[in-house]
Amino acid sequence: MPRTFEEECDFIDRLTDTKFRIKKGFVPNMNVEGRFYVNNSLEQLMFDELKFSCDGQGIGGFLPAVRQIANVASLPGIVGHSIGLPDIHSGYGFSIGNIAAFDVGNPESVISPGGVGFDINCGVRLLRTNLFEENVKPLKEQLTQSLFDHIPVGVGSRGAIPMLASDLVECLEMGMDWTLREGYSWAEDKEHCEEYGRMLQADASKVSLRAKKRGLPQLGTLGAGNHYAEVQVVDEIYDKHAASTMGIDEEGQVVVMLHCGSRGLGHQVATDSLVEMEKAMARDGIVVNDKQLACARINSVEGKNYFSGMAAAANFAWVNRSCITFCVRNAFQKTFGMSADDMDMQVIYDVSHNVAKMEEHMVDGRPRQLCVHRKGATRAFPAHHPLIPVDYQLIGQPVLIGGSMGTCSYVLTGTEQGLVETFGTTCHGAGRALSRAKSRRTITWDSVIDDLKKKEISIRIASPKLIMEEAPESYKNVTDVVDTCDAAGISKKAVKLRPIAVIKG
Amino acid sequence: MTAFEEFGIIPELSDALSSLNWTLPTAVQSEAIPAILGGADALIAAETGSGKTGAFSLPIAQIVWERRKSAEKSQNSGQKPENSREFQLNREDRDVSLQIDKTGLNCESRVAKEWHGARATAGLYGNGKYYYEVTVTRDGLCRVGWATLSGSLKIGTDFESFGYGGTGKKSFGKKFDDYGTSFTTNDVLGCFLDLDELKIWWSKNGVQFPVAYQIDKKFKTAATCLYPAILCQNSGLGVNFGGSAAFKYPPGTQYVAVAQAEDGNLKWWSAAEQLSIDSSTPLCVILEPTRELVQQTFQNIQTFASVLDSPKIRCVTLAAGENMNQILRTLETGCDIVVGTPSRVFDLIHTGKLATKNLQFVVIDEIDQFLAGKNNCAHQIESIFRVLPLVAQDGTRRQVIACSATLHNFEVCRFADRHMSFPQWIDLKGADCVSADVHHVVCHVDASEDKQWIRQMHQQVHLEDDHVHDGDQIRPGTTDKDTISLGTKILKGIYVVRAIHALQMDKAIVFCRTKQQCDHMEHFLQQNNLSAACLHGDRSAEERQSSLEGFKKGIIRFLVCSDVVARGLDVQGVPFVISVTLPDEKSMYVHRIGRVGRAERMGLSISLVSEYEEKAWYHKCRSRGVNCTNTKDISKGGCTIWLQEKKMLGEIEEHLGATISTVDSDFNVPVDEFDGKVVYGERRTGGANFDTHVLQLASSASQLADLETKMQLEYLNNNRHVFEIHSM
Repeated sequence: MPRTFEEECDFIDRLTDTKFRIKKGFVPNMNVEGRFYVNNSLEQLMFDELKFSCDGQGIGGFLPAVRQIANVASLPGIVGHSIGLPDIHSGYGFSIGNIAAFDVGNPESVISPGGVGFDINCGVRLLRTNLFEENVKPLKEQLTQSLFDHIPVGVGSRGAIPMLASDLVECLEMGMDWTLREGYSWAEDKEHCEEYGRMLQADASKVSLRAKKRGLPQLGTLGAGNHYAEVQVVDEIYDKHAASTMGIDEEGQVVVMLHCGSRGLGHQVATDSLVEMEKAMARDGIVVNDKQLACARINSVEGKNYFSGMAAAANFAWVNRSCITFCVRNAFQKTFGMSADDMDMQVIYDVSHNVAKMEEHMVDGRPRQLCVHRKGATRAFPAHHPLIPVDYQLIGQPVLIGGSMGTCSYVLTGTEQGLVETFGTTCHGAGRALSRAKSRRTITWDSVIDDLKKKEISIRIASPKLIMEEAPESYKNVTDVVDTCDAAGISKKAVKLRPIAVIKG
Repeated sequence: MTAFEEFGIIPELSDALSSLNWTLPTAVQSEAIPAILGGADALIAAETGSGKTGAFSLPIAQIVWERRKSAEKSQNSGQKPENSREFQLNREDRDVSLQIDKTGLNCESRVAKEWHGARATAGLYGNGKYYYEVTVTRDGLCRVGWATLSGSLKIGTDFESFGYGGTGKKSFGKKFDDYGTSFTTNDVLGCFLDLDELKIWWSKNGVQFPVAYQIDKKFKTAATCLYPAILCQNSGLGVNFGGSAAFKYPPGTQYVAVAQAEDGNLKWWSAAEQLSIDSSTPLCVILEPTRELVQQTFQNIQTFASVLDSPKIRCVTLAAGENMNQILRTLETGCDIVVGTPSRVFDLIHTGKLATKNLQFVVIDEIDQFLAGKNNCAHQIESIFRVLPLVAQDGTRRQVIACSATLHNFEVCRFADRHMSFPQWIDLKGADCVSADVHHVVCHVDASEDKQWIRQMHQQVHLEDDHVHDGDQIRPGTTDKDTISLGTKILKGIYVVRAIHALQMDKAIVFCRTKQQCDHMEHFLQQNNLSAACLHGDRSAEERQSSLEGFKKGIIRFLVCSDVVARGLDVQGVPFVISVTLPDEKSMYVHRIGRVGRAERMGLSISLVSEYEEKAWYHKCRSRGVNCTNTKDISKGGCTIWLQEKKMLGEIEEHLGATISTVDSDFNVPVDEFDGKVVYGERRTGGANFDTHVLQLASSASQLADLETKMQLEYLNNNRHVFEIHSM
């Protein structure tokens, strides 16, 4: 007999204004409690989802995010809490916006591809310029077109940079060291990247031939879905010190945001390992609440293979963003007749949304090495943390939050409270409110384009019929999400950005 | 939530996927499903067995269901308009720019270069002979006649309507033929419909023209009955259905004015019914090249459709050998998705049995085969497209999805340009290129250098040539063109056997150019105690089947075949392929060597390429080679050509953008510098083309990791107070 919605709610209680607890027993075998962060309007969405599924209105195997958080809490070796961020929405196995950390010292601990997501190291990069909105305005259409011409977009598009199979293997191995060696990146770019644009654990031989085949033609391409390149202007500065450290001095300054990932290659790496892990689970006797939570012990062959393959896919994503950065700089140079250097087109930072990493964290008063899964979540380390670049040691790690299409974006900084409560993690974006299937039914694509035009946002889209899925209505309000994180203290607002041009696959 | 839902697949379907154990999308599915759901035209290239069928049938089942469901909803909520019982032109059933006056009997369209039409408020069914009159009130282009409700308002352009135009042409199915005489302002046209004899004809100013069309008997039934219909382009017409005014040219007593027809013969138009008719004609047609593929796709769709309820999705298959009556019945009761071969689909559209006005999706699988095929397929597809509406009745644009072995093909690109709008390329195969699992080499055959063929040709066991040189004087030892050509043929046989022994082939496919050469090769291999069987069009289906089975089981080691047969051959992981002659078509080279090394098993392909020209049959004669002995060159009206294999090789290399390495006649295959030693037919190990630096980097990487750990620990220990402050 399934529990009613009220009975389910007995397992959930409020800890603070923005934080809820999911108690053990909500689903079987929970090793730790769950936590999630929401403000009032997001809280509504969260509980509606649960209510929906209790009333039996939710058809099919659809699991509300709260239950997915709880299922993750039942995985072997998890420590702290299974944490949901304000932009959480249900995904394959793990919700998107779910963080889970596993104790590497515990032989039972697992690593799960579902906890990373299919688009491995999907992430956001922000480039600054010394241009201002009034400089760009007269040339905005040309600039948008030029970006669209320079950046390979959409599915099946080929990269702008010629690449052989052997180059791909090097990319997987070297990440941004490859683009640096080949002259597509600037040396400073690497400094302002998580992991310096290269995960050393990468092993290209752990990436299947099929994944490489899928990846090769897609290297240096933007991809469809929620990926985009946006020209934005600084709308509001909340933290002047942090902003100026990042080279953002005044409102109206123009920046460029890139959002893309590892394309088909990452997808294939995830798919391959999910299949492999199912076998390993049977062998090692790992039982999980949901079949989609396929996982393997961190120290098993499958676990290690996945981690090396994932690291290689992460490198691929960095190469991808670097190639697109190269295209963006070229497009700006062409449009404004100035060198990218003169326009000060430095990378402010580059964050990863979908990745698992080995990090040291304090658990129960003792430092321990953890495998932190961040799916649809951004690392947000505080000032003085040794893993953030020298330039940002005093302000904390910049966190880049891309809004949904046509809405604003944010730059946040990491906080100590975030390190303590959420393993140094905060939200990653707006987060879906409607499933793609629902968006398709409720929103028409031409109305989305009209809306953008009304906001005076120039737009170029390779497949316009797909954009209703990315319309702002399909997403939670990014401002709600960011404000919740700020109020909860897990990150701090620094800058607000608004788009003036969008390029999409 | 399955991984599919992230693409926008509805939960109902993803349940079905879970039960099928489809938890993870394949590459082509993850690219194509969102594109198709998003409404884009898609051009898909993916290998067979990559889940391509699922990639289009899944989103199509969903969209068709969604469309039907929303139509159903609007039908239930929309109020039903009063049925008019006045016989006049129907304001609800016209093109928007056609103006109809208050009486419903005069209409005009002032738009230049565009056709606008209307149907009457009632149609005629059952029996009887009927008549109505039209007067041209304003000069311009016009057409008068009859159309069913599912027919086009542009009468005469489909198989559901009949028209007679001002230029003196009758039309049906977009075919315009001379008929009667041309007409202009003030001419009065009579439209005759004889449901007893199933005939249609017209008159002008009282003069009757001969019978224009003998019509199908389906037009007698109420569901598909004919309505008076007119069509204008910058012109005006006055209609007289014989309701109140008298006819200007009374047709005679056996004819009834349409407005005077018995109630039992009149089918009044109604908005509600209109919708239900719409929901019975198909939304999607899927074209497949063979019956097997039709079945396979149908089952695929059926699986998905079976989980969708209210409304149920109805599918039907159209392929040779199906029960036609049953199909027709299903079509009449209504269906949503049609899967069929082009010829069948074409036939049914042509005869008006398959209504096209609601078609919103066209899927063409293996389109490169259709377009390249020498049969009628390309033409049939073109004619199907000609009668398809570009925009369906509810205003949605037609969506076209085409799958192809390659997108880098002129025909396919041209098709896409013509019939698709901004198609998304989902190219998981790329331009023709040789799979990384295949090594391919050429062996040059030089009959003037290697003279062993001379000895061999006088022995009993040698490869029988194709008798092209039977009439020539053969002078061994000279460099005479014909002699070398003959020598090449015999020498190639020697090389085939030598390659088999040198590389210890236990299994291979041998490609020959003609059926005759296939037969000879089979015989020659058998003479050399090598078990061989032959596959080509002249062998019976059973023989081909058993040969193929034998080859798969390993009883037969060598399969000799021609390109035509090889296309659909489902043989995987063959270690070796030998091409005795290079294929005429350069893309065929890739197909041939694609037979080896499938599914990450290594394979080797050897092509024998003659240094000199080789004379070969090229039958243009009526018998297509049976008992043909005309060895004259084709330019002189004969049936032979001179093959220039070196030139063909050059073209192939250009096509592939790579030079194919050569091997000497001892068949010492050069070892690939990256792969090292390989065993053909074995699963490939290692994966990468060369070693990665993981081992080299291992110690530095772990040192760096240690350093990072140390730094982090130091940080954590120095900041213990932070954790105390914030701890919950």
